[in-house]
Amino acid sequence: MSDEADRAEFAEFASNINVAIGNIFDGLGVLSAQVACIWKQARTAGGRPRLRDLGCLEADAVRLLGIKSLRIHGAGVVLAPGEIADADMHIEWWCGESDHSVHPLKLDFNRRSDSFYNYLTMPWYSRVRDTGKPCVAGPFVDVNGTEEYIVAFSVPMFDGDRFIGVAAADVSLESLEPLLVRGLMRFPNEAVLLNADGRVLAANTPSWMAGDLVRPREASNYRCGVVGLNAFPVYWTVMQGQSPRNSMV
Amino acid sequence: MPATSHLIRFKQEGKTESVIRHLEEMIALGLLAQGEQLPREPILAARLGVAPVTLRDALAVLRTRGVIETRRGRSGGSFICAAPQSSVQALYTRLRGFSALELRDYTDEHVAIAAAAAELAAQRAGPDEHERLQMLIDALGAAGDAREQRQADARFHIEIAVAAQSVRLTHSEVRLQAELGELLWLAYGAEPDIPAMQREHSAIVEAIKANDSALAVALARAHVIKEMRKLTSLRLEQIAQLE
Repeated sequence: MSDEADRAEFAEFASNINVAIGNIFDGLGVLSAQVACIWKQARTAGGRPRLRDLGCLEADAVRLLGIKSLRIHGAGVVLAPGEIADADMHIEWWCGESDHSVHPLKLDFNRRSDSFYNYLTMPWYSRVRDTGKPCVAGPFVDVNGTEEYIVAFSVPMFDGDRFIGVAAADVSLESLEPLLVRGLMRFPNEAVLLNADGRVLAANTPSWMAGDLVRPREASNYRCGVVGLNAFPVYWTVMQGQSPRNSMV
Repeated sequence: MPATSHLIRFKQEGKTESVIRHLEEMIALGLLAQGEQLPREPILAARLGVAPVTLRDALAVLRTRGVIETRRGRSGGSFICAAPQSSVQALYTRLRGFSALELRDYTDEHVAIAAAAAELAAQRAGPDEHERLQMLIDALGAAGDAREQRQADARFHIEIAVAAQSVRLTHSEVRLQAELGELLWLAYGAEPDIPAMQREHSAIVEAIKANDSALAVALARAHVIKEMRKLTSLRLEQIAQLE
């Protein structure tokens, strides 16, 4: 295959991925704009928002959960400590079940309690807080909620320049993987899609499985191309091998 | 009556009790939080792999024990209200109810799951997973009472399966911790040697960090076998005392 055809193939792959996940980022953008609005109103009124002010986010979260092409387990906003007048830490989160019912998630944020859910240390929160940029974390096994293999999409929320939390959505890799594989199967050689940590999201070959970690020394035998996600400084990597994908290993 | 129908009936009768214990242990382990809403009954039944009627019976018992409450209306559903407490007496009674064969079978299963999880964690865990495992070793040291210690210990073992990137192994480890967790802790006695336990956990994490699958498997296996031996010997003593 010529270099040019190769590049075209790659560009199409990247664009298909962005189509598949584009409406997730769109939905998160709507949530974070809505939150910025609530914070601005509270500031104008001379105070901090209260828990009851967040109820209006439900419609936008439910719209995200309704995205048909993917299985989205949960969506909502996760707030930085001290942002809400009547709570320290707080998640305003809705879960979608397989029968399309939606219910709010209530978690324990008492720091002294056994079941304290400390999201401040979770990568989908801490990375966004530390960089101020969107993040796609995972896949990881979600032991606190769905007991599924999850890819978490999150974007920062700001009040002016101040970080006030993240808007996030949990997508099961199971629903995302077929979309990714469809693209990978168009590459003639073995190809693997990796997240920023080098973990496999999808592969067109049984040589690699979702969840495997590809270490830098292993990647050195492959040709790597970067897939920018949604024009954000967030990347996945496609790793292409030398051998045709249908050769048995 | 064919022999298999006895088998099925026996399993169904035991199911409600094991669903109750599973949910109570999930709460005790902090995997289900106070105030958290349980999924709707058909979904929860499917997730636990039990018949809806079995789940309904189990929820009714949990309701009378004050572990969950059920509210009606638009934002209704079943909510967790309090962590259940099993008395030491009830735990000893449960332990005496195990046959030697059952305990050996549990050991076999627990070794299989823990070893597979450790092996895959050594291959698949990255810096994030290493950090979480270390956090749970620290949490074991910082725990204020036996319940917090047991929780940190169980969460450590579950986290190895999480680091292995396996939903099924995680599910199995959660179930095993839910079924055996409290009993294992009973076997450690009144004053468990926490630093020794932390050293064993650290050794497993070091093997995982070094990508040394074989060592991680050997250490995880030895750790589980040691715990289960303590439990077996506690059961034998209990039986002797009854004589």
